[in-house]
Amino acid sequence: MYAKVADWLADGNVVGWFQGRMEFGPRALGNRSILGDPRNPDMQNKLNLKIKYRESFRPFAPSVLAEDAHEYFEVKSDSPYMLLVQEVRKSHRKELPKNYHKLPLREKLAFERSEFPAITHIDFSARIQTVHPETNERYWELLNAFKEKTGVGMVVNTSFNVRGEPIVCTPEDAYRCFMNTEMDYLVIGDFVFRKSAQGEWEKKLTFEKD
Amino acid sequence: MTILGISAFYHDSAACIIRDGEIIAAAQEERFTRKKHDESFPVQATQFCLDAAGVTLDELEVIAFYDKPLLKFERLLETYLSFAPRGVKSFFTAMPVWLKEKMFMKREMYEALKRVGEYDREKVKFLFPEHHLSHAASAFYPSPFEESAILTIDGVGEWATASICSGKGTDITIHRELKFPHSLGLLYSAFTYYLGFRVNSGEYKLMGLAPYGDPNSPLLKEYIEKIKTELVEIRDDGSIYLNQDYFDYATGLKMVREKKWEDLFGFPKREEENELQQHEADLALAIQKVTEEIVVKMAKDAKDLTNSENLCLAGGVALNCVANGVIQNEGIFEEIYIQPAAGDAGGAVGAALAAHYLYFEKQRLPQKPDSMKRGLPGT
Repeated sequence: MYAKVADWLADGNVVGWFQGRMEFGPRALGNRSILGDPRNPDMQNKLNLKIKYRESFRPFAPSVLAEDAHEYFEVKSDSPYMLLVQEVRKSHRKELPKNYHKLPLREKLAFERSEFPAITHIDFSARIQTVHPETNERYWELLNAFKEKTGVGMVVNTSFNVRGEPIVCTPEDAYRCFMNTEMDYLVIGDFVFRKSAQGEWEKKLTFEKD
Repeated sequence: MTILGISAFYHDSAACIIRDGEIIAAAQEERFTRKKHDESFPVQATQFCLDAAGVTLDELEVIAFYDKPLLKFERLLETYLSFAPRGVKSFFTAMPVWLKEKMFMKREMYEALKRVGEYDREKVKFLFPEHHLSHAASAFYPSPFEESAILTIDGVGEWATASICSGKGTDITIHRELKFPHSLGLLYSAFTYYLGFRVNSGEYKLMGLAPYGDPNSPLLKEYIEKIKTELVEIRDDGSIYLNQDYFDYATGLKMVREKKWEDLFGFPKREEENELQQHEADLALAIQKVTEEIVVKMAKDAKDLTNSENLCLAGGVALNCVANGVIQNEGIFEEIYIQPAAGDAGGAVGAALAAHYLYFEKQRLPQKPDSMKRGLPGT
């Protein structure tokens, strides 16, 4: 299954990932998460506008294999809870145009700043989650499968919810969120739902401003 | 020994259950009620925690509550008295809520707990660790450290808005506290409000907006200068003094005096759905930089006071992961541990752990990488 999900991610699909116990605290850490390919230049926009229905300026965070974090980021320690921001390494960055800081906000955002545009913020920073096999085995396995497929042990991780809604709790919440958004796949435990294979669904999305 | 910790009536209600010091389960009420930042009594989260531990309310040793209701009430009264008569209007608005839910929190709790299940009030002991003690406990006890400096920073709990403590074994000693209305959390929230985001949930957006600011622009320098001369005095030890002429949270129903801010920064409060402008991003960057300067000074003061190599962080401001990165890069401490639920939800964990270690003085064996089950104690 991990290899399959990794394939879908690498093909540009957005996957809802629901596994085991839920997180405590504001960040989704790979048990109630929506995932995408960090290399994909359209991913940031797709996640903001078609999945989470939130403001387009907001950045997304990477989940990275703990043992590979130093290859991509200037990390000084583990960051299992996504509570430390550090910079993307220079070797993965792209050169900015000279007038970058003078560009309108939208154009700044649209400029590809690194090999991982979906998780590199305007100032090259990233809100890192390091993923450890001993504490989140399934999530680590998925990242590892994605690395085997793409060479990159990292995914975009955003909380499993739409704007103004708490993170999903039950499988029912997850399915509802999946059907109400343009998410492509939903994985609950070992069960996989493909959007195109689902029946009729009347989208009811009454999210509140947050 | 099984202890239930509860955080309620503020924002992000939560419950946590520990047995012999081990966290069995913790959950936020919003996940069950589907109401974001739900502050109502965590009936479902409590039920979930009891089920996870396989106990009923009667079988609990203690229910520990995050907060100290009378201190809050005292703050409310003293604030209105010292700022009278400006605060009369909001006094009447706020009063019934405080009277009903906060002043009589114990009674409220007894009643709310009945919605979870029947219990014998004589059998269960209620404890009320102080707000910042709960925060400090939530960061230190689950940490892998035998001893550590502890820095908690948030909006306001009781009178304290930030604290520096040291933890050693099972003990927590409070060294310094910053008192209301001088609060870094509220300062950041004031800018959140002015830039068109919602207080208590939009702080994250403000932090995300900041990098759009132009780091080389003269406007940024000017904003930082204005913030530091007009709004907040930053002392060497990281304590701050907020100029109340610019704020309205102590007495009014709003965060800031908009007219004064408009005169100061040269543009009006942003409306929620308006497209973001460069000068607004520059102001976001300015307050982020000022915040980083303050937390670094606080961290240095914590180092001076404790001489520890370790730092534990909690309180809402500890969710400012950009500032956390800056503290790390300063190299003040060798190791940093941050409570994953650093905001009010984590108070439920802290209250329960404070009861276990401070009240019952149980032995503590720090575990690596920590004792939070990597943030996954939920359902």
